[in-house]
Amino acid sequence: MSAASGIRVLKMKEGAEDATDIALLVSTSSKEEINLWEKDKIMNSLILETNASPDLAAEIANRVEERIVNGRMNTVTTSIIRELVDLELLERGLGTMHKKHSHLGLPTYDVEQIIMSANKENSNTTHNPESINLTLAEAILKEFALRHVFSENISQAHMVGDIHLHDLGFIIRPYSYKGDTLVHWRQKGSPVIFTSTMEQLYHLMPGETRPEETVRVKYPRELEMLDRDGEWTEVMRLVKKDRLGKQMVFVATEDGKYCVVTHDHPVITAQEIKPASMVRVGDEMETMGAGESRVKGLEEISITHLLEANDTTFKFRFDAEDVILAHQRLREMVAQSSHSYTESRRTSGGSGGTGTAADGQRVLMVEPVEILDVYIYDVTTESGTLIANGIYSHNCGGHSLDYIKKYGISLPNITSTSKPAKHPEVLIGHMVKMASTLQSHYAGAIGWEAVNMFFAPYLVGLEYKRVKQLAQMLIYEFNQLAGARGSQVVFTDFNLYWNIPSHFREAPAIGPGGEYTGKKYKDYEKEAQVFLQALFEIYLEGDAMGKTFVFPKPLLHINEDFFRTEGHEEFLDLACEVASKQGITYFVFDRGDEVTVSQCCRLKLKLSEEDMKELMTPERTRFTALQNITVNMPRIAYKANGSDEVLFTELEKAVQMVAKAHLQKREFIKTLLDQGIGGPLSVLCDSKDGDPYLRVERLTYLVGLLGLNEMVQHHTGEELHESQEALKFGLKVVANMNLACKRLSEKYGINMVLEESPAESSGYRLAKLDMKYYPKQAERVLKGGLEGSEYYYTNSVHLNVEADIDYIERVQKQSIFHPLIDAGAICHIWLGEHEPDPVSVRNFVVKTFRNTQASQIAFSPEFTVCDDCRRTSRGLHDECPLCGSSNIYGITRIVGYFSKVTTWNKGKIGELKDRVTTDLGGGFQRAAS
Amino acid sequence: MQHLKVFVKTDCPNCPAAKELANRFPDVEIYDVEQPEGLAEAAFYSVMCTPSIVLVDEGEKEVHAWRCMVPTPGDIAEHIN
Repeated sequence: MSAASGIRVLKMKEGAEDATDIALLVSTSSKEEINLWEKDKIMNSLILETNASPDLAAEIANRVEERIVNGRMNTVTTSIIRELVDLELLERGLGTMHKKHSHLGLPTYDVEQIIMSANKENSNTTHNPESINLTLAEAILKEFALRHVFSENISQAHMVGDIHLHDLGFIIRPYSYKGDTLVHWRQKGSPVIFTSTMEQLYHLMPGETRPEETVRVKYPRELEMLDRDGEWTEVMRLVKKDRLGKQMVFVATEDGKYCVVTHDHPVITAQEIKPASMVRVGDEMETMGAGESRVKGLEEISITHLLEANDTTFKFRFDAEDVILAHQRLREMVAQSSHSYTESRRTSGGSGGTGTAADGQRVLMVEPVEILDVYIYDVTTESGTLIANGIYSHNCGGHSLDYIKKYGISLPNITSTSKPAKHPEVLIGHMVKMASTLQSHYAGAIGWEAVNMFFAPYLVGLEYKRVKQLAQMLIYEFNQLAGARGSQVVFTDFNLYWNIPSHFREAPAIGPGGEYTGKKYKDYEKEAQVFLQALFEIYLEGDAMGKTFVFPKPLLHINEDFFRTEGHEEFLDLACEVASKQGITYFVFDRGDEVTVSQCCRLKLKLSEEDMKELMTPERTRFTALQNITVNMPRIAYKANGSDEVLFTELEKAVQMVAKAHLQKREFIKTLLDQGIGGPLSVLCDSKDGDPYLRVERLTYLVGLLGLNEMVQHHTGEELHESQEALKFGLKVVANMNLACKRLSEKYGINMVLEESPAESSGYRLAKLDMKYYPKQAERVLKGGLEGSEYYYTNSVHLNVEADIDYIERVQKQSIFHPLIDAGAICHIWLGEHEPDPVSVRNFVVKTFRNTQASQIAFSPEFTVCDDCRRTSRGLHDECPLCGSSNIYGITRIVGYFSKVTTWNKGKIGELKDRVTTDLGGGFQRAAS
Repeated sequence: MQHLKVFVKTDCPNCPAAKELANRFPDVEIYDVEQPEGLAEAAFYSVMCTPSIVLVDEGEKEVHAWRCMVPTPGDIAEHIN
């Protein structure tokens, strides 16, 4: 028996074999599990984890054993053993192996701190068991990301504060069809139906864009596709993607229809919508014979025949000439036949749900298949569904609330399935459940598009009292849903419209029971307005203590049509009263739809027709933390030390580094997605088009801005508000970044855009790191108090919060940056304890819409809430102005939402003290305290 | 001294006409909005599309602007004093 065999090993949790073991603490529940010393375990783990050669592994194992024996230890923990092995690796200069082998964890002291004291990184989180779990998990995952997801130079840049990598986000799984899937389509309103494969259709359409390296997208105009019951639905988008080895599934029904789709493609069965791989033999699916459309007096043409008629030998894969020929022919045919068939069109399209065309058919076969295709295809239609290969299927587009209305709730993490809601209360329930499921997969806000409009069909004929009750229920259900990560309230945005937005006007409305009502959404404008009015009345009242609601945030959209819609004055007065009293209204300005210039001449490509169409999918990526990386802008000025040349070179380098970091993270996410349906992100694929956030081909990679004001101040000696030169220099910096984003997006095939980072905690973190590495420079420009470390950088491109300029001027100056910031920008108007006349608020809002380029504004009052008398008063006070109690807390807007001031980090507290407030009377006042 | 700022871009069909027109006047600055300086200047004057022409005074303050259009020479002359 050797000396080493007397060593016992105290096994800690890294000994567990997989994540389940660790999570269940199987091997540590008894605190210690004593094993006998086995040198082979070191060898095996080195070979398994680092690919070390057996010789090297044996050498290191021997050396470690020697140390333990010589150290006269007779009990060692596996983490000590691991450290000793790491030491051996480092001594041999084996850095990469060490990186793979190293241990991620937290010191006992840190864990204790996390348990005992609140994490102030996000003021929406309270201190509770779930938030402790979240913080612990995040600590490990952050370390993992920095060591294994990003390259060393990028991790280094994050650690020293050149950039800030925001939390790991999630990417929706792609789901798609095989290229030879048959679809039936026509030019909008034309009686001629074409049948072609998805691949053929894709190649027939002009104008390809390439938002990502592996994704190509076309936005056809006026193209419709056959949907359920012979209805037509407009095609929003055609996508061609690299298959990247995704598993395909063959689904066949008893009437001989079949299709091949990606394993995670949502398939509609009579019972529910599920991924193709979950479809079972015997499930019922709706199918439709395309030939049946003939019965309806329509002419059907197969593109294959068309090509043959053109004396072109049919080829599955076209060359360019074929495409041109087919294109010409198609136009001719449409032109020839469109007038003679206008009448018959009515008989087919408008019949609406007679149900004759669709039949329930049993699934005969579901098998994984191997295919050779390199590309897969996707069609997004307005209705969210289409007939593919004669089978009624689902696609990845659509808008969330309508999706729930149509299909009810069927989520993989919920054990039961609900049918479409018949009653508005049930619809609210469905929305809330959907939101809480989504929230557990995303880092940012869950946005809902045109909530009041989508609700409207459920409200027909209800008395106002009932409508108001529903509005109240909707707001409370969302406001009190603390089911998100770390037991936070779900971060929700409601996009709201007084006038039915033009892109929704003609959309067929879905009503109770998931049925089409036969009307268009424009026909529900009155109901939508009444509901909106009710929602704002509830917002005005506040909660039981009269306190403002925090979520759902109402984003009121204002556009030219708004001012042309009857009753807008009264409603705007109400919205402004809410803004003044409770502060919660966000005014979102949709400009640009009135600009009738061609795409090529616009500065901001975002305002394209496709984008207007994209509003059909509810949420813009700007609110997600998905791959948001913030550039520490003052740091660049410190490095440049007054040189323009160095400053712009460093700026370019920073944006390049951000692009690289994005690509590295995308690679990592891809490896997770490649695990398929059994992988960690499978639920995201199952969220289908209920996902209000991200669409595969529209993923946005955010470049966050922080501290432009301090950058300009250090470089030019003046702050943004102090001179026109300083402001113009700031613009030049942002214009450079904007163009760098465009250039790099093209180079890497991604869509990278600028964002005003909310930077709730990163602003403070980066300021702190600058005080560490560039104290002399930082001290000169940092805002806030240096003594109590309540310092901060001014948010994004905002002007100094304590600048003594008129708020109109502030908004004017700040908003000239907005057109350069594609992913979202806002101007805050801090009200403090003032409660301006709603008329002043209205004038301000209208002026901002008319005279500036501001994307969004919000008014933020401050409140003191008393836990004793349970009332809310204006302004931040040390004691309750109503009853004198000191059992109070203050709330105001931290960045994009209201929260308790006591939960704020030091930097934000510093900013709060500096905020200049206004009563909108034209003057300014410094905040008290 | 008043002068004209002309905002243009490549692949913009009406831009050559705007440039030509503006060049009939003294003191013209041409800005390419695909370059940082041009884009920054465009943002400063709320120019959202090309071609656009902005007439400014000696303090660089906007006197009149023709956004997303090509004015006639008469239009411009009318506003210059």
